[in-house]
Amino acid sequence: MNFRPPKKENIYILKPILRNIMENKKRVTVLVVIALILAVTAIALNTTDSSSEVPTTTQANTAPTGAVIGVTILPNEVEDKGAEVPGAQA
Amino acid sequence: MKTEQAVSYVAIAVIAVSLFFIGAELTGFATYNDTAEVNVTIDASAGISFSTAILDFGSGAVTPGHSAVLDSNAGTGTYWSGSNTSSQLVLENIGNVNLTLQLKTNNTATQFIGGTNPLVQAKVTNKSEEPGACTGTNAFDDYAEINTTLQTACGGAFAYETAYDQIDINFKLTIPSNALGTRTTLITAVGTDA
Repeated sequence: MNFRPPKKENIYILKPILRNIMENKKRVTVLVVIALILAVTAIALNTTDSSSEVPTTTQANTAPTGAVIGVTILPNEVEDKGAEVPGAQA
Repeated sequence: MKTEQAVSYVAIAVIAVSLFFIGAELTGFATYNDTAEVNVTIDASAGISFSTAILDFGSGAVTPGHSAVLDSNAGTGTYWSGSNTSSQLVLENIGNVNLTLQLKTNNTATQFIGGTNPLVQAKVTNKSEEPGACTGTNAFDDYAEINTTLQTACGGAFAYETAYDQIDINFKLTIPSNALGTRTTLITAVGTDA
């Protein structure tokens, strides 16, 4: 097989074209990666519904609140009438 | 090259659709002065609180053969050796909506006071300088027995306006002569959006 190396002039012409093709491929790759990331994010958010609004309205009912009433009831005083009678013995 | 272009367009379309679903919005720089409105929405918030949460009738003995009657509204105590009590519980609507109000105790009169035929009664009135705080059906318009089931006190509205958002809750205790000891009970108030 007779392999002929490319002429120098041809290399100088092809180089910018190849570079251009490579840069285009890079751009497309970056775009595809960004698109994939955003698509996955959008799907995840919609699946978990975490992007939806969270209601902040409080339920207008109160929690029960309490107070205390108290009283202390003492024993009745027992009157010892016998003690008042002179000479009386219990 | 054609394939790359097609892939690029598809990728851009996917980005746009994804941003739409994520919720991104276009913004811009204002190039001229303009007026704007500021809106705020205040949600309903319900709340009640006892500004006076303790009513202590003190200590005393019941005259033998009688039942003592302690009335915090009248400030009297019959057949009672202790001093009279003229204070009351004060309940305030601390929210921004009118409420209906219900009251109950956590003990029956027998559990609270003990002895034979004790009685616990409550009376709900507007705080003296705040007429209109409590409107509508009121089971405690005058002294009425309060028990362990919720009873309506302000069936129309327990108002929230600062000028009239407080009510007094007075109590009348009937203490038999065979009751004894330090006795307490909890009064529970429940408000519901009117």
